[in-house]
Parts: sequence; structure tokens; C-alpha cells
Amino acid sequence: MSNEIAPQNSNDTDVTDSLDEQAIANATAKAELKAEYKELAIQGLWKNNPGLVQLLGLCPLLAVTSTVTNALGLGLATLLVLICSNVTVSAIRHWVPKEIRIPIFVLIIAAFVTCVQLLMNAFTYGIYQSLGIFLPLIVTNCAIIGRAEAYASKNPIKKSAFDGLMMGLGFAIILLLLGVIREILGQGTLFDGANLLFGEWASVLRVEVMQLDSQFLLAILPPGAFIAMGILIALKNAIDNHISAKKVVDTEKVIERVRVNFDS
Amino acid sequence: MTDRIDSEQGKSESEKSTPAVDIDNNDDTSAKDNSSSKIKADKSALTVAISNNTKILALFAIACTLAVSLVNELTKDRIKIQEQQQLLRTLHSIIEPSRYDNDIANDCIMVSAPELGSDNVKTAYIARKAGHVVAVALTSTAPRGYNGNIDFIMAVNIDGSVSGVRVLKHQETPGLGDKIEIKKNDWINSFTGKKILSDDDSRWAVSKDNGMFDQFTGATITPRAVVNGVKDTLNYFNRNKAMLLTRPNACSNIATKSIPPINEAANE
Repeated sequence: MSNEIAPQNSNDTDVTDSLDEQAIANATAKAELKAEYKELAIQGLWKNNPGLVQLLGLCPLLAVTSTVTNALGLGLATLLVLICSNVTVSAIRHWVPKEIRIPIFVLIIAAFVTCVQLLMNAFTYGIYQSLGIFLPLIVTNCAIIGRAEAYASKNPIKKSAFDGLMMGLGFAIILLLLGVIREILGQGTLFDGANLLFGEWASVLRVEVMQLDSQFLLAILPPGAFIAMGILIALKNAIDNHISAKKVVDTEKVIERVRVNFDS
Repeated sequence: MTDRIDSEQGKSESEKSTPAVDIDNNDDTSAKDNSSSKIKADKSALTVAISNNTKILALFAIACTLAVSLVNELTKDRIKIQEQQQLLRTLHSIIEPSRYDNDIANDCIMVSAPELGSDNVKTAYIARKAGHVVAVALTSTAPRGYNGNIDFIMAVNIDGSVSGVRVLKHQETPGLGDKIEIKKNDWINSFTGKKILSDDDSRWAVSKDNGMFDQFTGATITPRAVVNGVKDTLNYFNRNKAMLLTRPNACSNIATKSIPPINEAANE
């Protein structure tokens, strides 16, 4: 963006003109930046959601979402790793020869995951126990190396951090949604075991949504996760189709109006 | 500063990215006697690139290792405390804390016997009051669960009665077999206070096998495995009580590193 502004300034001779132009250029640059951040947010949360659209990191997504607490724990861990790895990859992008970028990205991601794992072991022991193998497996989550390679290695730190935040949020929201669906259907509760994640005070968060005589096994077991995931994806596609259909109808209406005017 | 690095980077990248093509081109354009030296020069450029990349990679590896070891150093003590607390919580749930006054987490013996379900070395924690043993908490395994081994810890009072049982790890069916977890059902408390009268006490079975312990609706194999596991462990303790209690402490503060962490884990 700074490249676009620079030549304009040098061409201007009049001082006031250049000031005005500069202000305009600044404003447009700001607007562009805003639009870019907005686009990043839309991409991460909806259009290119790592859970619903890219379908990356399905293994932990389906395995740990049997309760909201587990889903939240993994979602937060992934979010943290994604932001940190994006920032680091973006910060070192000028120093890394492209032949060895992949091993370096993997090294960085693995280091962050190990740090997060150690921290969770130290501060949220219960959730560390119930996430089990899926916490270290964040290393192999393609969403993270995918963002490092596709976005962070080519963009400045701020944008990469924002991209990491949005992609991580998109992933965490899907995890949470699946967790909510499966926990309500399977156990009839919400936030069961939240104290494992947030400490003792959080045990009041537990909500008994409905009393189940026997647990709905399918929702707790992995196949339930697949089915719920399928329904979520279908829902997303249905909404997209609805939106695009609406747009088509709108444009058709405009065209019709023009024709009517033309006839009369 | 960054610009300079950028341009250098760009140059070196373009050189590095097409080394094979360069060699081919040189072969075509230059005289044949000249080409061998050119290839040599290119090769040395390639070696330089490789050694540069190796250095960068090594630097990153060292930096990442340093970061991880720093975090490890910072969290080590807290993780240790967490594991100890978890162990104490589990032990407290099966032996009343008021019944003993020793540092139970650091007073243990190592046991290995086929009666305990697997060949792994098990840890047994000893609760003492004023130096006298009041109860022993044995970790053990119930084989033949519906879905693999069921690890549990049980406390046996010195008179041979059960003080409490908790399942540590299992892979039983969620919703059916997982009622052996205290979180889901208090069935596991039905062992508390029970004694074994003879080696093959027929009451130590699920009620379907004419025993005194309930099974769950839809799950008989899991409780049966747990009942048998508890029974075997209890028999083992009664038979080897004298031998077990004279063993030296294996978890004194010097040897704390060897304590395997015990976690009351949910099924995965």
C-alpha cells in the first residue's frame, strides 16, 4: 500500500494539493486496510472456515468435541498456537530461504505446541488429562501449517496475527458448536466439567439442559461427531445458496424495472 | 537494513532456485573444456547454499529447543505439584485423610505380581498413623474389560476390608460401561467396607452370577471385570500382607522422580 502512495506524493508540485491528496490517499489506504481486515475476518469465520470449508484438522475436531469444555480447551490451544506461529513465521519471513521454509515452520509450530502443552499441564491439569493425545497432535493440524505457508509467510506481522486470530476463532467456533450439539444430545448438560478448564469457580457454569434417562450413545461416540459435522456443513452450504439465490433475484428485479421503463 | 537483506535474499533465492538449469545452460553455451570448471563453480555455489541453509536450520532448531526448555524449566515445578495434588486427591477419596498422618504420596512400595492384572510394576501407597500402618492403596489392573484393561486404585484397610476403589483409566463404552467412574455413578462405592471371607468367596461376583454386586443395565462384562480385579487384588494383599509391609520405602524424597503419576482420568 505504501508503494501506491509514494509516487503520488512525488508527482505533486503544489503543497496544499499534495497535502489534500495525501489526506485522501491516507483515507483510501485506511479504508483499504479496513476492507482487507474485514475480508480476513470473513474468510476465517465463514467463507474459508478451517473446520467447515477447508475441513482441516478433522481428527481432533471430531475426537474431542464430546463435551463443550473439551472443545473449548482444544479450541483455545489451537487459537493460541495459530496466532503465535503466524506472528513468528511472518516476523522471520525475510530470513528464511524458501527451500527450507517447511522444516522451519514445522519446528516453530512444534515448539509452540510443546510450550502450550507444558503450560496446560501446569495450569489446567484436568483439561490436559482429558484432551490426552490430541493436544500434542495440534502439531499435525494442517490448518496451522496451511496458514503459515499460504498467508503468514507472505504478509506483515499485524495482518498475519489477525489472520491467525480469525482462522483460530473460526476453528474454535466450529469445535464449540459441535461440542454443544453433542453434549446436549449425549448427556443433556452444558459446560460439564468446566472447572477443569477455568478452576473451581466454573463448576457453577454447568447447566442441566434436559434430564435424560439414558445417554444418547450415538452423540457421544465418534460417528455422532461425523453426523453432526455433516449437518453443520450442509447448513452452511444451504445458507450460502440462499444468499446467492437472493442476490440473483435482486439483480433480476432491477433488470425488469429497466425494461418496464423502456416500454413505457 | 531490511531492504538490504531483502535484496540479498532475492538474489540468493533466484540463484538457489535454479541451480540445475544454470548448469544445463552453461553446458550448452560454453566450450566443452570450459564446462567442467563451470560445473565445479556451480557445485561450490550449491554447496555454499546447502551449508547456509543447514546453518539457518540449525539456528532455528537451537532457538526452538531453547524456547521449549525455558518453558519446561518454568513449568516443571508446577506440573510436579499438580501431579502430586492429583495423586493426593485420589488417595483422599479412598482413604479418609484423618485416618493417617504420614506423607502418603512419598511413602510407597513397588509391587509386581500377576495377580494385579498385568506385568507392569505397580505402586502401592502406605497410610500410617503414628507409625502404624492403617491402610494400603494399591494400583492394579482389571484385565478382561469390555474394551481392554481397566486400571484402578484400591485402598485396603489393615484388617483386610476395602476402604475404597477408584477407576483410573478405562476405555469402556461411554454411557454403558463408564458407570464405573465415580463421576457417572456411585456404583464403585459398593465395594467400600466389604471383606473377602475365603479365597473363592462366591459373593464376590455380579448379581447375575449370584454375587453381591449389581451389574449395569446393558453392561455386565465391565462390572464383572472390575469385581474380579478388585477380588484378585484383595486376595493378593491378604496373602502377601506381611511381605508387602516390610518392604523399604521406594518413594522417599530422594527418589521422587520414579513415582509414576496417577491420574483419575476419564475415558477417551
